[in-house]
Amino acid sequence: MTPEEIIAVLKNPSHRGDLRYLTLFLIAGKYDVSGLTALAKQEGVASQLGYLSEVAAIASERRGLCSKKLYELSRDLYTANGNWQFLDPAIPVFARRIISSGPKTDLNKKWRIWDTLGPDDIGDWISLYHIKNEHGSHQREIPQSSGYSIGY
Amino acid sequence: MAHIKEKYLNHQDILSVIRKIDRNLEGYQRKFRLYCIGGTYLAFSGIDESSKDIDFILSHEDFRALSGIIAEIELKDKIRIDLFPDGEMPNFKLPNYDGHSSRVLSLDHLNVYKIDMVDFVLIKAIAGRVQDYKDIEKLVKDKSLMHKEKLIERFNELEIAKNKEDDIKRKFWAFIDEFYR
Repeated sequence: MTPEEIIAVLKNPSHRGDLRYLTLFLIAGKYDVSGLTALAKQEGVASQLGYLSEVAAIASERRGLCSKKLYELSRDLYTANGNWQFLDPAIPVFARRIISSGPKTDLNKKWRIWDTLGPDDIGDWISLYHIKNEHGSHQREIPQSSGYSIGY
Repeated sequence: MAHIKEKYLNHQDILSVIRKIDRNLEGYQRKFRLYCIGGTYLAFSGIDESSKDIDFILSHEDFRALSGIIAEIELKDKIRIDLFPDGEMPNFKLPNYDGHSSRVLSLDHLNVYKIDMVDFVLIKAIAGRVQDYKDIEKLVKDKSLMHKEKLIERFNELEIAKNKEDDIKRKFWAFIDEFYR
């Protein structure tokens, strides 16, 4: 994905899965960090991308993958005192009210982003898709789920 | 990275897995029942939503017979199939999951059902993630057909884990307040 494609997905994800895919791409894909940072700031989506990159960094760290580049990306994107925004612009109106008035995680507060996507969700997908990056890999064949996943 | 999108399961993929389970049940003299929830439910509702896994509720008796077969398919096809015996979810139990279900597929050894839409919405409402709310919006086109009283009645039937009671109640009542506002 080019920086332009990444920003386009952030601004208008046609499917909720696009945001998960983008987060996994940040972990495992190849992209130009400085070009992406500059474009995200210019297009007004620095907080959204920063949130996703920190979610990706924490999930990677927990799964034994390299997180350095992701933490760098999130650090470069951070600006204090931004306005609260929704990560997903297509969130239903009733859900906007629930999410914005519900409890917030430290990541939500730091980035001023309303969303429920967190490192646990992304960790689950890292397992499911055997995601690897340049310095680490996740070796389990079938991921553990919250239910009775009985495949191993 | 392309393999990620290729591994999303669509309706056809889910059907093919169910047929595989059915073929593996040859020799059994009775029919097994699988009740779709989550993305599997949406796929059988004609909603074009890809899923990362396949989720079924089933009876304990059917679980005992099917678990080995399903484990083999999971390993061989590198997919995830989550089974919830007797409606036991991680934080609550959904009793009477079969009471209002409708059959969506009948094979030689398997009948596949969708749980009642009220139960589907209830499960999504108390999960309370953005994706869950988007799924509800896709499914419930006419709010007047999703009776608030029924949802509350079904919620009151849930058996909720003690340590999750506050969180689940908060999510449910926030949903009721905002969805019907």
